Amino acid sequence: MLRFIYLWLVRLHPSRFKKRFGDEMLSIFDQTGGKTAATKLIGDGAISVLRQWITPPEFGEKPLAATCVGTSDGTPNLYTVDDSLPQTRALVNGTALSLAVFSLICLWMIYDQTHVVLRPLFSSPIDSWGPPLPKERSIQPGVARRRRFENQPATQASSPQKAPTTQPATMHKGRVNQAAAQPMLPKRTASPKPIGRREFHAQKLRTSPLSPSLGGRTKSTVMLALVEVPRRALRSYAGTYIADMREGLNLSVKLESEELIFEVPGEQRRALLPVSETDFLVKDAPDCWVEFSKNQDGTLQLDFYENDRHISARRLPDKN
Amino acid sequence: MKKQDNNFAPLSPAALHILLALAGRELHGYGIMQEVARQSERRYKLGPGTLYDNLQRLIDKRLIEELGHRPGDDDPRRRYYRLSSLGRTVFSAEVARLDGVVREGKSRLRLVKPRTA
Repeated sequence: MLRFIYLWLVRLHPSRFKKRFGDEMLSIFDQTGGKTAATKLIGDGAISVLRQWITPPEFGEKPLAATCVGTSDGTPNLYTVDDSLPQTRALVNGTALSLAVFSLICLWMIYDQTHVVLRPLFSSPIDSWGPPLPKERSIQPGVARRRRFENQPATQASSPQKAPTTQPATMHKGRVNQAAAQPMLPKRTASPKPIGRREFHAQKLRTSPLSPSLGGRTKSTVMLALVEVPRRALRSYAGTYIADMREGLNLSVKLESEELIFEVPGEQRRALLPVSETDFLVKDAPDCWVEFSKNQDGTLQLDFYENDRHISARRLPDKN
Repeated sequence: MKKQDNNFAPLSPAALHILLALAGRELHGYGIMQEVARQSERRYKLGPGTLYDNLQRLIDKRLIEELGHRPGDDDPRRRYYRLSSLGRTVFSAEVARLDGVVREGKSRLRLVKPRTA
């Protein structure tokens, strides 16, 4: 068995080395007695394989035959290299480099998957749900929510993240100034507990001219911490909601394994990520927010925001 | 010392031991391994991989010549090697260099006497 392993190690050497010294190496192995010595020879052979492939000596390498075509005065103007096949060493190095680059790309993809990237929620335009809000009521992501939070007493007086919420949220003709583009961080009297490392980037506003509804705005990348919401509260949000503006449009919120799932008929199901006890980001969708609140009559209301669209929906009473 | 000999100095320990083993007589690979172990009082052992890797480089530098198989040998796979004239010159130069290092080291050590408390 050990000889078989050593034989394969010898065969793994570069062909020139193998042809030249392979038999002699096997001869020495055959003369060596004892398992310990044979094991040492196998280790030596493994190192030799690596050394031969990584730093092969110049032994036996054919020099590249070059011919020179010169002009009448002897000045060379063209060199041709006959042996243009890549050397084995170059192939091995190229393979190692390719594997390294491939590994880096894989690591980058894994990293990207572990960080939530918000993408458009719906493939079809949400216009079909109803008309856009009037200009003066145009709602920018987070702005309406900021107004609501501004009316509440601040509990984190010394928080450096308070600044954006104290600045006036200006909304004129669909334009948002820099202050409005700042991250909106909820100041809640409740005690949502941040979940340590489960932070993610949310590109709330984009500068890309390809995004007409957001054209010309400054880029603002915010970091929001997910919070833990009691299961009791999550369970209370689950149910079917009917949109105010368009009858027959039912939005569904389900609780599946400690996570709220937002579902629109005919659209992809999306998870809701809690940033406070009542406010949720829609996973994998930029500028999409869902917030739950109670109306004066005690019914639960769902407000869905996407870019400058806003849909309110009331929860249907449970059948039972 | 010729300029050509300086191109090879200093030799690696394995190369030096191989040249030392072949300085006395012609040997095959296994014989070189045994001779190196004997010269170093079994403190330095060459494996076949290290041996032939160095042999390959020394042959390429023309410090060692290959003699091929010998009829009547126990193992027909064995090949014999010997020191070339260039190899002998380089080995002599290396020994002289090492001799100078040893002499210089001894003289320095004699000058620096251990302090007594």
